Amino acid sequence: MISLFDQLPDLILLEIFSYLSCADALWSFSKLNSRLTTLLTERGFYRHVNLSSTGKKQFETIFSTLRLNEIQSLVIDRCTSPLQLKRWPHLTHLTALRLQGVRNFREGGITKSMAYPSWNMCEFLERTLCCLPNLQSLDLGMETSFVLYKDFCDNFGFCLRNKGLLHRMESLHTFTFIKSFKCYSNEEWEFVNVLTNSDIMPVLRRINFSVFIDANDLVQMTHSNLFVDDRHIDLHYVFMISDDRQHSELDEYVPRGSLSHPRQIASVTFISECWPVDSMMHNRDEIYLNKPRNRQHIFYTLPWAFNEFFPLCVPDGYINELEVFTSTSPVNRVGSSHVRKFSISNNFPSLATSFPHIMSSNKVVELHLSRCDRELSVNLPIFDHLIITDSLDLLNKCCFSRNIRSIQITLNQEYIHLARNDWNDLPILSTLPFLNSLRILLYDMNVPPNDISRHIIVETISNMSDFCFCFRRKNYGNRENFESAHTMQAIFITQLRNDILALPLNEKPRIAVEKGGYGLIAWF
Amino acid sequence: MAGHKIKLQSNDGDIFDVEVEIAKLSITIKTMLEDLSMNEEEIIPLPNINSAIFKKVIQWTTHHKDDPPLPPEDDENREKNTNDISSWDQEFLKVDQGTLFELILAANYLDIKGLLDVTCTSVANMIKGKTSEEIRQTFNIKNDFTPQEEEQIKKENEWCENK
Repeated sequence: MISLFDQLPDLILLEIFSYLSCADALWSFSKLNSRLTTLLTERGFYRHVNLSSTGKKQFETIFSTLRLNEIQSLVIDRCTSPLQLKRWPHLTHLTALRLQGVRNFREGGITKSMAYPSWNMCEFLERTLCCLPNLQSLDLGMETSFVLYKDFCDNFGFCLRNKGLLHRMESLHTFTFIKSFKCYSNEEWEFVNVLTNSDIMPVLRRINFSVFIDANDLVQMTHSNLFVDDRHIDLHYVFMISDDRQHSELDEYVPRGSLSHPRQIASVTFISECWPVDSMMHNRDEIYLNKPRNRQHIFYTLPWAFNEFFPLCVPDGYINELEVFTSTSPVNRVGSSHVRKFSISNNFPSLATSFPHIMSSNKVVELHLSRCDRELSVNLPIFDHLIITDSLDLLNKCCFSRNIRSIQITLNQEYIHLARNDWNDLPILSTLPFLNSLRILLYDMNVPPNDISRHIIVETISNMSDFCFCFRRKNYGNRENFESAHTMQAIFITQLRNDILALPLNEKPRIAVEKGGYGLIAWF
Repeated sequence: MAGHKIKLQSNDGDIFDVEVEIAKLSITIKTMLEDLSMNEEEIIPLPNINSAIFKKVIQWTTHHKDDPPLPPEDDENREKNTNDISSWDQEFLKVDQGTLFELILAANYLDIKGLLDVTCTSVANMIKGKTSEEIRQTFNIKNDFTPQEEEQIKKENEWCENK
């Protein structure tokens, strides 16, 4: 009869470890005894590291147990405090780096066109990537957080090459660049093309990429080194194209894999009568609004090599026609792909729920609830990350999974009538045992939350490791009430900082206030 | 065939009549019956499980006999889901640590993925968020470090606390 944890066989302990994150395992078991330390090593927790959700003290404790030159792979996910990112030294032996939804401050804040969160890709290329000479696999699946700077320069490819941002990656053979449908940037293809050139990635063998492009990119693409050179690259891609032309007019330009790895292409066209105004879709709003019917085309290689389907930038409710163009080949299948992000807007669940083969409840990672104000009629899947947009009232109307690790709350002034905005239900979040990241973004809100709300917010975050609060302005051209609004916001941020510092915590949190006082980040 | 039973014997000699369909939730027993062509009249010995634990296993499998099969894991190195435990399972797992560990061993030996999943999840939830010292107390884990190693660990901890 086994009655002690210590008496369990190694295989069972390894099985239990497989239910723990790297951070949980290292925090709880390192330095307990030599057998457990051996098993942690065997399971790879010291070599394959992910400390994203750790608080300040936890990070420092675990960090002290790591042998940095033995770390082979590092994952930094959406729960990572931006203040933690700065603590990582360059890991010269790293062979795999995976960034998942990393978020950071955009310096300059409220008056800039780009919304928080964003990631400074140029800085990443210049300061980080060049210091990882042994990197073999790079996954930049940055999702909504990643935006290439439009104001970086006019010719993006030229600047990348000539500003010394690109360094030769001698060992890199696998590159993944998955872009969200949500953000549109016409530099995306140019970025991929320049970065994957043979003088930068000489031994590239496999690339998975998903980008938003236009028809001109398609024409240029067929001459790109990526598709024709002698590295024999295995290409898997998804192209999203917003173009009102018929599918057949674009289809002929879509490349069929690379010269060495031909691929069949399947596609879907979504047709909507109107296009929602979305400031994230730069320069396109007026075009969409003026045209009676809009098409979004998705072309993808077969067999499907991505482990997720991507959310559309147009909410399902706007789509009134769907055209599917499949291949006749037996390879026309979607493998084991699953919906990883599930969205519900205006109280209606995504059409994805009607596709049981891709809608597996235990595969959903992120749930987006947008402009929902009443109890939802669907069973919410189990997920780790929750994004609530203009749906603050839902906090006390839905029964959320206990597994949630991060929550982002976004409120827009234009939809404020959909929410009470009194923050009274926020303490419900304290009942979620694994929640360690809360980010609050207020767009175009000239009046900050009142003192009571501020105290509620501060009390709610006392058990978390990562907290961000930011004021942002979408209509940055409209400077009406700007100065007075900014003064009130800056005072609020200062008071928020003081309240956080006054929390009865064992250790003082690290707090960074954004330049201009538009927001702050705290790492507990 | 629904209602058809087989005899399973625990390591302390008790014999249990269990419906075949329920017993077959155990891949180990299913394999014995199907691949090894064991006669259903034969008593199948389960040398690694005592009767108290086997009763619990039967209770769990009977309750979960109509559950859909768990999806295959797509990545061995990925952290497994610690999905919410149903209220019935929570009640079922209100046992002492020794029983919980025995259930894990039984689920592993009998190859009952669902039971292994829920018991490991339960232990993982006991672990999450606890410091090494709290884990040492919770599970009564003995320290086998040498005094020199102990000293080194203390130094490292001081270093990170002072940082």
